[in-house]
Amino acid sequence: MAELIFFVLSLATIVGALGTVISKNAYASALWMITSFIGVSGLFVMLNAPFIAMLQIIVYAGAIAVLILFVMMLMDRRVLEDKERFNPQYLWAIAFGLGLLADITVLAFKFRINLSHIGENLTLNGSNTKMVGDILFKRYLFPFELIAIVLLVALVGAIVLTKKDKKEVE
Amino acid sequence: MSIVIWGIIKFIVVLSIVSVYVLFMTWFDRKVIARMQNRVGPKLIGFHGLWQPLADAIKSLWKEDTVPDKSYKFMFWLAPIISITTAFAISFVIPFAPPIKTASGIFHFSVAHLNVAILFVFAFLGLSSYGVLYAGISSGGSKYPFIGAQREGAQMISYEIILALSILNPILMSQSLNFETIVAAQTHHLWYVFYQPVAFITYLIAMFAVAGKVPFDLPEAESEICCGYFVEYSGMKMGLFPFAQYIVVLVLSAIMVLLFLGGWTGPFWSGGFFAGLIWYWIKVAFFIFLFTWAWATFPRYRYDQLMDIGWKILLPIAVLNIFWTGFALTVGLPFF
Repeated sequence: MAELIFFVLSLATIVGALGTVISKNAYASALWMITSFIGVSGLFVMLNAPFIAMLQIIVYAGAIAVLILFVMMLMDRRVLEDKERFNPQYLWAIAFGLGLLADITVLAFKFRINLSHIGENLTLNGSNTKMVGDILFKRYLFPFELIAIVLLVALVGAIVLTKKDKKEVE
Repeated sequence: MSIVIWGIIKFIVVLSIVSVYVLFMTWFDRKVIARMQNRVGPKLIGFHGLWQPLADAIKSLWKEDTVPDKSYKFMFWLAPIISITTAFAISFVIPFAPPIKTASGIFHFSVAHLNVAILFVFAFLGLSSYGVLYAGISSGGSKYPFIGAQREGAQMISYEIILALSILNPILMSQSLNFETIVAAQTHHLWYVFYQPVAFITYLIAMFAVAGKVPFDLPEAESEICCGYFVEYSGMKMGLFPFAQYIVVLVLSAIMVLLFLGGWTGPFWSGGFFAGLIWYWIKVAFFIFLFTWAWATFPRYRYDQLMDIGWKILLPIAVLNIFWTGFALTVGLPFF
């Protein structure tokens, strides 16, 4: 039963990722991306990490994909359809992806991952939420705050870059 | 194995209950709004027009199913399915009655009893906006659906933040993401609405915007953009969008009651299973009625007003309220 669910979820993840790259229609591409995110969150559920699974859906499938879709909706539909799907560097990307796949396959065969211990390190007294909170706010508090500031700087930077002064426009 | 069987039974029961609820909500809405406008409303079919929704359903099943030529066919077909699936998925984590203790453990009246139930609700509320977005996108460049879908996207992003920030206060106070634990925490204290009146009000406002109901029904503003995102839809496909919306109304009302109004506890005569059941559904029914009441009462806000209310008024208030709650809990104020 668990294997069947795992195969369905991994199929959704892989097919979704493939569809994101291959599909001609940009909107369909976004839909495939959401499928892939949902598959990944299902895998997190199977790892006994429901908190991370839900955050995966809320942040990636719920918020980031909506923003991407929103930007596409602000563009002209004909411009989107005329765009070339790949730039000339796509062969490098394929080579890199295949290398990564080979790497992971070799690792999987070498270490013989034991599936019976799945998710043991992801829960503390049965609560994944508590574990994430403990680690983020006790052990890694300083890097966490640092990342928050870096993200804030990126946000402010984006606003500064895109917003023109009224004097310049005149 | 019995878990799987119980799961399937609960799944079918909740599916039927929610479907029947939606069917008669259309009757309830029309009847209440008619009374508020000094009309009678549906009255011909059945007792006070009670079978009107069945007649409507049969009629819309036999309507011609039109698909625009320039539409993206697959996405056009998929959009109402996304809407209805995500809406039902949310209703599966809501407890429909207080839990009862049996010999073999505690029996929960929700299809999936999760420890992260509130996060699940938010995850699938976020996904439910894709139904509307893709309805607008796939309608083949038709302008009204497209504008409606854009509005839905922006509205969902803005107001889900406020909804989440107001829900955070009860979560902080009870230190749990599980509905039944939060209700149990409220039996030791007063209801959280007395501790968190500001969060209660911000949730109340954001609730209308997330459900896309009047006064924030901008995605389907009839008088401006025809009917918004489902202009190009017909028959039962079109019916699935309001169907999903009614389920979201039920779910948001239930969450309101569970988080702020003590769920199945009452001011008096509480304790037993049936007392809890009756108190719970009285409170939920009041909030469902509130949606209808607002529909008949308020005019629609303008789009820039909606964004101003969300980002400039509600968001700072909600954030400050979280700071206040955190401060009060850390210092240990006597009434917290």
